[in-house]
Amino acid sequence: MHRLGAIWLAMLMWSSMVAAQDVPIQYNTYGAPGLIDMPIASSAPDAELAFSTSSFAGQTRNTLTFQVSPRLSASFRYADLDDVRGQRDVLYGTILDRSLALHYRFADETGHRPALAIGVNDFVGTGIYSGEYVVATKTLHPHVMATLGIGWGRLAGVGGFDGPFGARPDPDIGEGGTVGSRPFFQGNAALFGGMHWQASDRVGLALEYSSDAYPYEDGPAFDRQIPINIGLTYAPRPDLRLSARYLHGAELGMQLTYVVNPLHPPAGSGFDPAPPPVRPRAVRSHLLQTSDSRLADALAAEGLILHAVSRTGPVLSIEIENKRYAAGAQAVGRTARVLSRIAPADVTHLRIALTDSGMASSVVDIPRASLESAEFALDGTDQIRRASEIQPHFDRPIAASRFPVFDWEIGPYITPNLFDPDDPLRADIGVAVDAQMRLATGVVAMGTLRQRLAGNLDQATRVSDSVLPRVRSDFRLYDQEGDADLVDLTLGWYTQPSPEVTTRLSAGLFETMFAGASAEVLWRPHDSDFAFGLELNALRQRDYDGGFGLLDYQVNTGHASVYWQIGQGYAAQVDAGRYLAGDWGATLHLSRQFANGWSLGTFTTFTDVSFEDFGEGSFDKGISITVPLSWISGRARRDTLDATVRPVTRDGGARVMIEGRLYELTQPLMAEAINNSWGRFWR
Amino acid sequence: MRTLALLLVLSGCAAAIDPVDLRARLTDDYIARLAVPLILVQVPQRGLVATLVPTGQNGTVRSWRSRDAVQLSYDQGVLVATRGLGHDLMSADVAGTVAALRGRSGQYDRASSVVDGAFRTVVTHWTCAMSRHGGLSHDAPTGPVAVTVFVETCTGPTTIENRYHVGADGVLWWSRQWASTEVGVLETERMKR
Repeated sequence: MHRLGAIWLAMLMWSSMVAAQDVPIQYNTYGAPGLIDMPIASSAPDAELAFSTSSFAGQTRNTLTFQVSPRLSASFRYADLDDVRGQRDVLYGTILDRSLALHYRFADETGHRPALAIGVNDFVGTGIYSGEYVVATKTLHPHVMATLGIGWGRLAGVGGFDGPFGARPDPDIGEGGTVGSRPFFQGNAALFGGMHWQASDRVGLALEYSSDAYPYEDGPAFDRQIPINIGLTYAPRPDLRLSARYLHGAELGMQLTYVVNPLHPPAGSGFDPAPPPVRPRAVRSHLLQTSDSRLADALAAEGLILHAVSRTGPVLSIEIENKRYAAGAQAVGRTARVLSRIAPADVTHLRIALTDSGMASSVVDIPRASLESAEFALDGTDQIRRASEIQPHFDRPIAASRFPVFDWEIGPYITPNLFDPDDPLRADIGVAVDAQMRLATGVVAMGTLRQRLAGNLDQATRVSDSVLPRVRSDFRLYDQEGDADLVDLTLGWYTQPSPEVTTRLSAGLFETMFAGASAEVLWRPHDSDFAFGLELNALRQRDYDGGFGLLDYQVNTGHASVYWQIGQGYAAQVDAGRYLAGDWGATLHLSRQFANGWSLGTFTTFTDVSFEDFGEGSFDKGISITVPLSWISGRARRDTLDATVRPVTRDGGARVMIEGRLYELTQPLMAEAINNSWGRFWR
Repeated sequence: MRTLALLLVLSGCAAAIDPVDLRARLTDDYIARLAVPLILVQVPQRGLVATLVPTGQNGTVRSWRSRDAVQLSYDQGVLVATRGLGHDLMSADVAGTVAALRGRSGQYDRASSVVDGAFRTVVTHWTCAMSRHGGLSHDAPTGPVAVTVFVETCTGPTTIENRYHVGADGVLWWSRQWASTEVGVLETERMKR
């Protein structure tokens, strides 16, 4: 968790540059891979994230598109639409519309065959953009791509013919949020197509025949003339694209697209200070006895806290806490090199375990001779991995660390509130102090204090109309009262009764809105892709002013959780239980996690609260993004920038936020995490 | 563009310094008084210059470290690793290069590795040939030294060219060696043996 978002986001924009490719994928006005309005079959590079804003004739679309896998991309769109005609010719001055789209490339381009893709637009929102397509794209020349497709729904507005799958009902611009019985691929169908010519690295031209007749916009917003669009795209940097279009023979449109790829850190392997070199035993005589304080100092210089060290014959076992590196293997590698310089010459094996809050999971056993021989070998990373063993951590040495350990950080913070129906860009900025104190093995006190300096969150005027207990929808009151907030203040006690079981007891102010006590147990079998957790909380709502005061609302919540590492970095999590408003239900999280710490995910919660009682949006859902600060800056550090974006904040399906939940805390200690980051052992 | 702190053994100054300026400040007197070996390294693509001192020796590989903790490792003068430059050269197989500098003729293989954004190792293979050019007088701090110029041309995903100025006693006085696409070349000058 990191609250210093603004500066880091600015740095992200400033620093990231993506690798150039022959014909960069263009994003259309809907923010999806496409020509101008129409989609194409090609996909963006795997893992690419595109943020785009397009606008014409009062139709502004802000879209986040993620290339979930090499074939699948998902788009989340927030549109601000002026002068739109709804059902029965009702005119809307402004509609704020959220929509989701998926694009799946089911066939790759070959010498003779085009790439083929299928897509669905706006399948959970109001349906104003509802449409489906099958599309083919072929590269005719290294810099020229041609596209031909067939569309349904909105994409069958021009030159439509009877589709093969029956009639299509009109969309219902109502509450939104239901997938329901959407008329996918029903009704009329129409052809669309176009060409893209990449004239140079920076300049691209597109021409398309659009089958979208703009049924809700033509008339009130603009007067559509012809189904032809032309566009020009200029890329001042590989990660930035500016587009100008002339649309439907009627209007000029503009678009700004920014792309970033988690797989391409701007600083490459990073600017971390070089590790200490290995000192082969032959070079000089070593100490006969390991000096703990000398070892602790040498490790501290690498951002590692020595917790325990013990010696059994030729084996030196050590427990360290990694305070600095996003890659667990980098912490292990540096520890090994420090030990190579300090350990007595008759130590032949180094056993290194990573710990956090008194918990450990795996130990890496490294033969010292391999460390010495692999340091500069071309395949040194593979050599040292083959020679080493990662085992479950059973025989834990007694912790010998000195307590208390105190850590703190001060810096700016930003708390944006996107998608407020009245003003989609609200934010507060200020100064935050984060402090953490380790009092004994597994006992951690932590807190965050925030002083607001400026912002407009308190100007929100919409009063909650929720019929549920107002566990989240009164956020406006929390924003308005008090400029200094004690965001959280907790005491936590972590234990590990067996190698595969960890527990947490914590109490205090968990987040701005709830305080109480929490108990959690996690069973994480070794060599398994699954883990199982249980959490019970006794909570009371906090007063709006960010102090120690409490409101009357009390609730007991709890969840049983199943965590699944699907493979290839994809993960799923199901939490079933009772939520803050007393509602019962379950949440499904799906995410893609990168070895470097990036994570992108979605969550969806259904509870026994009816769609009607829930209110706008019908059920709780959103997306979450985690960006490691080390990725942005190139400097080794473990903290991350976390954002959870919900289209609407309501009271159903809400969960208390607790820092230091067990799964997240133990994840970096697992053999899998060390393995996945092994490429940085020698970094 | 990042500005890296520059390493200056002599002054500890971390301000931006003209490469020529730093070279000029390493006076003969200063060099003569130094108790440790010293190299001067420039990274033209990054606008960096620094002096480095030995920090480790593992077999035939010697590692040098700058004040701002950039580490460069050379196997008998041939670059095998960088640390702390971003887009580091993680490892290299330079056995062919070392042999060619000792006079072995013919084509040979060379390989280098980097770590990518997903923390995986990516190896690049090259095919190289070394050509020997005439003599040159190298202006070492201790006086002019006669050196032989070796030019290594390697073909892989791109073509790279490395240059080595070797003294009669086998000492590599000056080199320009490719590290990685983003870092470019490193110019290494031996200031004190």
